[in-house]
Amino acid sequence: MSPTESLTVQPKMLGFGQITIASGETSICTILGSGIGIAIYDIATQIGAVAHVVHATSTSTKKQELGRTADLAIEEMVNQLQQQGAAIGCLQAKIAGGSLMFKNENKEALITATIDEIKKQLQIAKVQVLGEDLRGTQGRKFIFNPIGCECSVEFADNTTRLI
Amino acid sequence: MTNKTHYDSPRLELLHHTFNKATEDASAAMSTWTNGQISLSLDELSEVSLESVSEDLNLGMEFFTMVVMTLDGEVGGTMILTFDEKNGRQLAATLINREVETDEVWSDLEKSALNETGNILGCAYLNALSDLVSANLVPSPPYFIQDYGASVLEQALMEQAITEDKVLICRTTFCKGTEELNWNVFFIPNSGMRTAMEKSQKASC
Repeated sequence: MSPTESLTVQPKMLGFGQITIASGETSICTILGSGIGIAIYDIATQIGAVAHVVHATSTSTKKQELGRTADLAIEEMVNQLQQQGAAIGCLQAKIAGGSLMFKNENKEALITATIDEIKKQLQIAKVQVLGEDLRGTQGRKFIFNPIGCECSVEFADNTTRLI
Repeated sequence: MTNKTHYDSPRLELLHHTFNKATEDASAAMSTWTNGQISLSLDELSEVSLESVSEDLNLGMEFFTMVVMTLDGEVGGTMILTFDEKNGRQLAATLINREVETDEVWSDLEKSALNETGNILGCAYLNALSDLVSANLVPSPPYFIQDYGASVLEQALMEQAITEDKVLICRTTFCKGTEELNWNVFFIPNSGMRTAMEKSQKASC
């Protein structure tokens, strides 16, 4: 049985470029391709924030969702966690995604830049990265369960990996 | 068959005509390839928010068989041909003139049949776009992928997502006679292609 099948409460779906807070019994699930799922959480309070980041940095002057780019998303996630009562000095993170679903050199470079920016921003925010499942050529279902702050990835061939 | 012809934006109305021409060319090629059995119809051209795009296109958590072709370069885009398992296998069986395979793993012959379908469709579609934007667009070979539809869509949308609040997507539906099939072609232009198409439409007005 996969982690999503074993959940009693249906997970809340997160779209591309979005951020949400996770607490209680509701897990967060997002489908990843080239994008990166980030879960930042406080294990003591079991409150987490999950983002589905698509790019490294924001280049547009147009209004964008803060979750689209790594440079804005991680700061926003930490702010939201602080507002929810998480202990900022104790935050931990797990990240997954960044697959190259089909061959394209430009997009491979964009994915690498996004991963690098996420790691840089997590370091700036003093968030410790405890697990990652990055790159490859397969899509992933990224699931964060606030109870125990567990993170897992499911692949389309039904294999599952805890990270 | 829904053929969405009423748009809130005059710009989308103009782009619809562009894609309609490309769809007609692709439909003619598909009809030849399938001995007149299958045709295409432009279903919808839409600008949707990145955040809700996979849900809007029903590509959320679903597993699809897909053939992907890309146009690399400043003026480019991605074409994604999607089938559910049953329909994909039925098409492959028809094309190779065999019974529908029951093995879980697709045979090389089945994959090749779908890739060739993508190639024929993609080339017809992209030739029409090449004429429109006066650029020599060279597509990649087709890639056969079985995975979450949203995962493939996300990579196709990467370039538009850098600069655009809303992403432009063209969806085409297949028909067998009057029956609508559960197959789709999505064309996702990159930002350069969006600009080139809009310029071309303005010039022709």
